[in-house]
Amino acid sequence: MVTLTTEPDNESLELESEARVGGYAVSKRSRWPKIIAHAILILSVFVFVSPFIWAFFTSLKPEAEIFASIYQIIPTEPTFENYAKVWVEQPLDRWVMNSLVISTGIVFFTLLLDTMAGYALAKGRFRGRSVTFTLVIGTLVIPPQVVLVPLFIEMNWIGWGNTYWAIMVLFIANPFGTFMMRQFFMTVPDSLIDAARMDGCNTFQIYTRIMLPMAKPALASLTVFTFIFAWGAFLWPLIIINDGAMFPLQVGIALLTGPYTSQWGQLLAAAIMAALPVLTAYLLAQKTFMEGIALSGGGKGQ
Amino acid sequence: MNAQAFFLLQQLGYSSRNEPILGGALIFLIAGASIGYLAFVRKEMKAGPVLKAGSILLLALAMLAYYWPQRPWPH
Repeated sequence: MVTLTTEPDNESLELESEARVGGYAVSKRSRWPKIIAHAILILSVFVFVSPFIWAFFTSLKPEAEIFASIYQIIPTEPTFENYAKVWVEQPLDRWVMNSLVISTGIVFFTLLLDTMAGYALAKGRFRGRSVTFTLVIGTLVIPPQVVLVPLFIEMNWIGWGNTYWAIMVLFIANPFGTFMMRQFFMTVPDSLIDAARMDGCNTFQIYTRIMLPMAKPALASLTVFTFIFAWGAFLWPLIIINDGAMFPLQVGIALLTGPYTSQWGQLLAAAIMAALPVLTAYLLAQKTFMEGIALSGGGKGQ
Repeated sequence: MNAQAFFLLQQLGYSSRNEPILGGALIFLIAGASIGYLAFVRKEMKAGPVLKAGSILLLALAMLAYYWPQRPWPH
């Protein structure tokens, strides 16, 4: 009878001890590429995050101190004076409300229309389905700046100039959302739809009772995507709105800069406040956001 | 009829300084009621606390938009 020994020799023990450092399977040879990769990543993070850090610290400086020295990034006497001033002196509350109205409207109607369109394009059997899908995808490649002037004329022609609807209607027709929802619905097996139909559901009931509950992760991702996009919308609202009471936050902040003088401290304080909802939405739904990216890029295509 | 509908929508979509934001109230109400229906009535949605709290928050925003504080303008 042969007995198999499992005792390792000294060399393998050394390698094993190296492999267990930090709980990761790391050998000496693979350490340097990781260090270099992390160094590049840390540098990239610094490049992307440093403007935000600079903006935050500058918003805490008194107006006279902002351009006193380029090397003095951290304020010597931090103050929230700029935050208080911009809130009191500018109609920031109304601009925040306008942004909330517009973002909520865009997110709600985008989800409603895109789930319906995505469901029809994924599971519907009708003539011209692939042509319709190609047209939807085709609109993704048209730069939005190209259609701004015709849209401006159209909105004024129907009397929607200077209204919330004019801002929202452009973003509600969102081909990316339709594509994303279609990719999700493609992964739902047809047998579920057949079973629901045998239980007596019509097409709309299948959509509301089967498809929508199943699409909760995709809906959450699309909500975060759309909210971040709608909250940051600038060019179209700037063109179609000409009343200060109707400005969304981004347009209002941009117009705080005057031709002769600008209150940079207040401007940066407002910018930091404007970034807070998006940062909060991202931090709360970080996992969902990442899943959404994977969903829109990694789904089954046809 | 269509012209009247567009005129009404235009009226709802615009609110001047120190006016109630009727269009905003309408949007928040529709969104809040729809999400509330999905969260509290439709059991198959298996709604979590975020969806339930979100619908209540939207209804609160609808009230805020309707009773928008008459803040002096310009400030």
